[in-house]
Amino acid sequence: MRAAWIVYKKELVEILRDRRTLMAIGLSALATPIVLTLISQVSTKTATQVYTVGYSGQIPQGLDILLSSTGLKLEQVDDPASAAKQQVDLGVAFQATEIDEYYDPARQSAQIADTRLQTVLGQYNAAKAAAALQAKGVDPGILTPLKVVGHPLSSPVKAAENAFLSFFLPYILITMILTGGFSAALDSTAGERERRTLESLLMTPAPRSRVLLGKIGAVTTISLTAAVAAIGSMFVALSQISLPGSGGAAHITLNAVAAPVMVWVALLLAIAFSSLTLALGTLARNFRQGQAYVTPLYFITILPASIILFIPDFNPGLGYYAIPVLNAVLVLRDAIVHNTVVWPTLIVTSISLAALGGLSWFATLRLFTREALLTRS
Amino acid sequence: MLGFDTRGAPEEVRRRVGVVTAEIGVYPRLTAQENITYFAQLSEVSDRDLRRRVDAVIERLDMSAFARQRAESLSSGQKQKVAIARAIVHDPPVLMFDEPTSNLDVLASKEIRDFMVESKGRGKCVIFSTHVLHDAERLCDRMTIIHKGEVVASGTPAEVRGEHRDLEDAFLVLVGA
Repeated sequence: MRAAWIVYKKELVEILRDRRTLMAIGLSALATPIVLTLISQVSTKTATQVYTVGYSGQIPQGLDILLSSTGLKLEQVDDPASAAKQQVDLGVAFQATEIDEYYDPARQSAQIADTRLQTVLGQYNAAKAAAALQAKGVDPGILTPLKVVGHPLSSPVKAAENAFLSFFLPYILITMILTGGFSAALDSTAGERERRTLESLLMTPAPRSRVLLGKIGAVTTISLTAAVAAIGSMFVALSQISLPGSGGAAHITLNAVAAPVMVWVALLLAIAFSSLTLALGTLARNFRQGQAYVTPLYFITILPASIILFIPDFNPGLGYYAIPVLNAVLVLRDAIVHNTVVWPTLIVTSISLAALGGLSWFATLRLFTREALLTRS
Repeated sequence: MLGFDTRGAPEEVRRRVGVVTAEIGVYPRLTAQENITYFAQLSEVSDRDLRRRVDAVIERLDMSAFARQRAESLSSGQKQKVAIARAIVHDPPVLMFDEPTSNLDVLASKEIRDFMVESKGRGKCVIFSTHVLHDAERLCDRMTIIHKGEVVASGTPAEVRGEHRDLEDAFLVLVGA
C-alpha cells in the first residue's frame, strides 16, 4: 500500500496547485449561497410586490381597504379589458351584482394579482354573507356545516424546510461531488497521457492497482472537499436568509438521522464517481476528449434530483434503490423528510454504489495493464 | 532481461531498468526535485536513502540551480535532465535511452551523450535507440539495425559498417534503399 500512499500524496499536491481544481472548489462554496440568496430575494420581492388593478364602476364599500391591504393598488381606467393587456396587471369591472375580471394568464404578475383578488373577494363575500345572516337573526355558522380543525402531526414549517432540503441537498451533494473531482480525475488520467508522464509512471515497479488506488483516493478526497465546501456554505447561507415556506426567522437544519446518512452516501458517491471519471479519463487521448466523455455524466446526475422536484410523492419499490445516483437521492430524501433510516434501502443503495465503484475500478485497472495504453496518443 | 521474463515478471524487469524517451514528460506543477523524489519512491528507494539519492543525482547532473523550480518553468534541456534523473535515481543496472536528444539543442544533446558515456564507464548497460547513425557509431560498442521490425544487422560498428565508406552507406545497402 506504500505505492498507493505515495501516488495519493503526489496527486493531492499536484491537484492543489492546479487553478482549475481550486476554482471548482471555490465556486462550489460560493455558488450555493449566491443561488439561495437570489431565491430568497426573489421570493421576498414577490411577497411584498404591489400589483395594479385597473377598475371601472363603483367599488363595493370596504372592498378597497381590503384590496390595498393585500398589496393590490386600485387605478381607475375606462376599459378594464384593454388595460389588463399591458397598462395594469388585472382589469376589473364592478357591476351591480357581479364583478367581471380580465387578466392575461401568460403574465405571472396577472396570475399573482388574480390569486390575491380571489382570496380577498372570498373573504369579503363570506363576511358580507355572515353579516346579512346575523342581521336576520341566523347563526352564520350554517355557512360552514363541517368545520375542519387541523392537527398537524409535525411542524408544518419543518415539513416545508424538509421538502426544500430533500430536493436541494441531494442536488448540491451529487453535482458538487461530480464536478469537484471532474477536473482532478481527468488531469490524473487523460492529463498524464497528454503530458507524456503516464509512460514513465507505468514503467516504475509500482503495481498498477496501487497507482490507481492512490489516484482514486486523491480524486475522492477532492470531490468530498468540494461537497463539504458546498454543503457547509449552504447551511451557513440558510442560517442567514429566509426562504419561502421556512417560516421567515426559522433556520433550516439537518436532522440527526439525515446527517450521518448524508456523510455515508457522499463517501460512496465520491468513490463511485472518482472511479468512473478515472475510467473515462483513461479512455481519452487528451483532457479535452476526457471532458467530452465525462460531461454527459453531469446530466445523468441531474435527472434523479429532478424526479424529487417534479414527483415529490415518488415512492418506489426496493428495486429502484439499485439504480446508482437515483438511489442516493431517494435515501437522502427518506432520511430528510421522514427522519428515519430504512435499512433495506440503505443496504441496497450501498451495494449498488460500491458495485459501480468496483466495476469502474476494475475497468480502469484493465486499461492500465494494457500496453496499448502506453502507445496511444 | 537479467534473468527475468518481461511478460512473466514485468515488475522485476522494471525494477532494474531506467528509461529515458524523446517525449520529456514531467509533472509541470511539481518542482524538479519533487519529480525525481516521486519516481525514487515509486522505484522503491528506501526512506533512509531517499534524500541522499535524490541530492546525489541532482549534483551529478548539475541541476542544483533549478532543482526547486517548478518543472513548467524549465527549458527543454533542463526537463530532459529531470527525465534522466528520475530514470537513474534508483541506480538501475540497465539504462534505455530512446531518441533522448531528438528535441534538444546542440549543447543539451552533448550533455546527454556525455552522460551515456559516463554511465557506460560506471558499468551500466546502456541501450541507445537512435536514427542518428553518427551518434550510434561514436557511442556504441555493439549495434543492431532494425528495419520494418526485422533485425538486418548486428555487431560492432566496424562489423556492421563492413567495407562501406561509413555507417550511413552500410545502412542504405542493408535496408535495400
